[in-house]
Amino acid sequence: MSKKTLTLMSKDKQLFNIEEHLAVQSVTIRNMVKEDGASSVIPLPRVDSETLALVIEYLNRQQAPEEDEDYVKKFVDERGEIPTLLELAQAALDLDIKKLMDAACMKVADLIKDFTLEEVREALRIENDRTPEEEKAIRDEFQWAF
Amino acid sequence: MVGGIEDRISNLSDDIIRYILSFLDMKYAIQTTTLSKRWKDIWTTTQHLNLNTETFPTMPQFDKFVNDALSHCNRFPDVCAVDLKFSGAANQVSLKSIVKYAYLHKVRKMRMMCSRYMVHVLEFPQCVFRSDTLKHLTLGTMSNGIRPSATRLPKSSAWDFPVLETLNLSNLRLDHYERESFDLFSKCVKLKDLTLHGCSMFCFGNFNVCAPLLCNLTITCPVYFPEVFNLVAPRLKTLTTAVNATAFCDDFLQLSRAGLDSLEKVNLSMSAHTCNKKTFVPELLELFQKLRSAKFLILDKGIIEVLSSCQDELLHEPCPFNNLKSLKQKNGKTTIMPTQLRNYFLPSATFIMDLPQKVSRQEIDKGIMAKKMEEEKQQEENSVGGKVISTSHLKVQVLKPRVWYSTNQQALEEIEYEPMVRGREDRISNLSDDIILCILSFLDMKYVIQTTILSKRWKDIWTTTQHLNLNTEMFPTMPQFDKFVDNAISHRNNCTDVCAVELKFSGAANRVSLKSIVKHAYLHKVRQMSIMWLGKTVDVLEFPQCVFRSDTLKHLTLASMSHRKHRKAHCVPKPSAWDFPVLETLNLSNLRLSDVGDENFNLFSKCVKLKDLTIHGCSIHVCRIHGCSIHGCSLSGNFIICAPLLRNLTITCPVYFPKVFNLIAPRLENLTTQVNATTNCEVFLQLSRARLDSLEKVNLSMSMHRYNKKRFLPQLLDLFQKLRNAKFLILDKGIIEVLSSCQDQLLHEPCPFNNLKSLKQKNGKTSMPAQVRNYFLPHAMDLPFYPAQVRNYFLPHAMDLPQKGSRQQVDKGIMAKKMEEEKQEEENRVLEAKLSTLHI
Repeated sequence: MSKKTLTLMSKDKQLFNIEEHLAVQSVTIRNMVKEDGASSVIPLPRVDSETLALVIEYLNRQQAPEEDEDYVKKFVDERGEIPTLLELAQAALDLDIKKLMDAACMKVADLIKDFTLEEVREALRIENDRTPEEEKAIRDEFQWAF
Repeated sequence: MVGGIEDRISNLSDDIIRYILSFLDMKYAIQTTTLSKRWKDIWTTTQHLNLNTETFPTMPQFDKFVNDALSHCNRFPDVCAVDLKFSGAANQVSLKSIVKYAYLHKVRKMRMMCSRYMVHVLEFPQCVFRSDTLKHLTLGTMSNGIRPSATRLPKSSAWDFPVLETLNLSNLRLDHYERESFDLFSKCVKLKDLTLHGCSMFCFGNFNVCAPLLCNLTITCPVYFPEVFNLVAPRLKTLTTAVNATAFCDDFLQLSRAGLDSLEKVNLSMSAHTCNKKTFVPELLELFQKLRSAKFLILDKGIIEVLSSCQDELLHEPCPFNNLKSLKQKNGKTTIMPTQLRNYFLPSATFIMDLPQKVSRQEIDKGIMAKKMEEEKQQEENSVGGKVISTSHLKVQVLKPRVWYSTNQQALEEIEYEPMVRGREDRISNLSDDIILCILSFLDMKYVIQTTILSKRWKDIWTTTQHLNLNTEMFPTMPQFDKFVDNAISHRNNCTDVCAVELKFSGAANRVSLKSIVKHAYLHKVRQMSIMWLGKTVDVLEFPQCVFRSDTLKHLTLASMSHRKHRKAHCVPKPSAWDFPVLETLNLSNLRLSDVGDENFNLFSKCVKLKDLTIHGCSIHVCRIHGCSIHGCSLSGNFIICAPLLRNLTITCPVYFPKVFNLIAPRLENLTTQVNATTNCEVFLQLSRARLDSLEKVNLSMSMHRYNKKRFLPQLLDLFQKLRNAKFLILDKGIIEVLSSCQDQLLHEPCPFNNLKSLKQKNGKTSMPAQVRNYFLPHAMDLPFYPAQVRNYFLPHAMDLPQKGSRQQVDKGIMAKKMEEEKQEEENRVLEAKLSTLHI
């Protein structure tokens, strides 16, 4: 039986080929394939091409199941930039690839665990939308956690 | 030969025969009476009555048959199911008597279908609508060509089925001409599934379906809808319905109110023929309003056409489906859902419509959305122009806060590179809650709660985290920890289950705050829990009793991190059996699993699902006399591990073993254990019996210092005897030394491992003596047909290779090949040795 190939399209309209039996590690893609055979291009309008390339690299891994855990760890370790990891996590969430998402999030958690809140805001691009007074009020409310 | 088979059939147990009869028509079942004497009475105890009037030429014959059959039926067995097909009127005496008989005999399932009727109005007798035992009822007429308007149920009060769970009505008239409201199912309080196919629900007033437990409601091909369909079903999860009647397509489903809070899946279809599609829009939107809790929506072509016909109007309406995760089109091959329509339902989705949407729409800030869209547009324009506009990238430097660029040159390069990343920035700031929660799940609770400060959006995210990671060491004093726990638990979203708890603590284990964490977790269906004691201050660590009882816990780790000298001080409370009915993995480390005073110690007897058990550095003993020291105490009781599903058992660094270790684990596959205790290497693992039939892999090690090795042999051989089913055996240096020290004795003992396929040495650098090997794998010597040379050549290596398949099956060809390869290797080695000497 010849291996079936699927084509995924990223947000910036780049096309990526991947063998179906590897692609279906994504529950989302599996469901699509199950439903209508997904013969044509599968568009992934929220994943940019860089991230999709990473995801496909991950899906293409040839690892024995018992080494998989280590592989995922190493895979995200090599991509230690927070923005990349978050993109990867978001893509993994959209595509429902649990292991990848967990690993990416764990790596992010590992990176930010010693950050101050200010640094976390910067790292995760969170805009502080409270006035200093409001912030003081909420700090007082959650005094017990500091 | 044939005689043998015949006997087997005639010897079929009555249960099998009854089971076969249950699929057959009653008439046929009764005819089996004539088969033989034995068959005479079997049919009388059947619990299934399958009757069909069409199997009789005339109705009087059917009447007579029913009369006779029921009077012959054994009165004792209950009726399980009735399948009654009839033609003609429904109120015939014989039909009534079947129903009455069934209801008297606690029938659970009934199907009553009219296949053909000659009467003008089909009226079901009143007696059908009252049973205390019926769970599943199907009532109706075959649909082929029969006008449902001609069927009628009795002008009834509410149907009285207190335990009914499934109700299927097909092609019936549930009409009601009185002005007051009509509540047919009010007494069917247990109703879970209701299917109304081809029914007419004409009604001037309210048509009430008031079912507190209703989960699934399906309405297909409705003939008429009532003026108001009053659906009170707080648990309704799945609603499948046609929105308008088949008889008049402007007769719309008018739900009275929107109390359908549990709604998950809504599947709507519409029969729209030649009517003006736009006229349906208001009613459709009103219906949407009432189904607004739905998470999964499936629409058929008809509805999509209606909505498409007035896309402009939709733009001004806010979509009521706030929790919508997925939108699909039923059998959607032909028409494609217009983009505008998709945007109406899933405004946040730039994703294609079939993908499940995990992001709830409310969570996405509109402002950010708008910004994002604008920027995306701009980016597209930019890329179209083939030129990157860099003015807006001034904030690029902020992007990498952790990297500080010392030279301008680098900064410039960075700017050149950044535009690709810029689009990402907005997505990151717009992370979905799932990602945030996933990140938080790896962080300490204190830190997690502090994120509440980050921004308004983050304020409540932590309250829905399913992972509680707590560490008392994060707090300067214990009262501060107590206060934190108190506040955290009370602020946490009470509707969110707890998935995993990781609790590290020092000091006493029965602190109120620790107990309240455990209690909160158990109350919120925790699946995974890890409790680690970091040592300090107390002498005796006693886990509170409340830890040892949970209906949901699947993985539990109890550990003490402290030094060895403290170990005897740690113990679990004097417990009755731990009560974890669904526990699968249990890790215990550095604990004292001791019991005082009880003869038999069966800690895990209630953990019936246990699959993996790891006991590290624990003292396992049962001690009768209170207060004795570990070394001198009399060990008399049984330590019982009785786990029907246990697959893996690992015992490392045992501090003490019980006198008898009663291991009842018929499914045990992997056993890793040290055979004697670390504190006193004479205390041996004494398995009580040898019922480990599924054993595959056994990994044994031994701690041995300066003792006379030979004295351990009897105990070791005894243990081997009990592990004799093992297929793969791994022994450590200690054990091999013991065996080697008494090779002569081994020669006289037969090896108990009959199924052994492979023997290995753990970290095996020292070679295993040939005699020891021969003891375990005696057949290896007996390989027939091979000259001594070949055997000698092959065997020394063969032992160390895991042998898949039985040794007897080793193929000659493969043997020869291996031999050749090994010869080659040997030659290479010699050659290398020569070369190396040359180099020197």
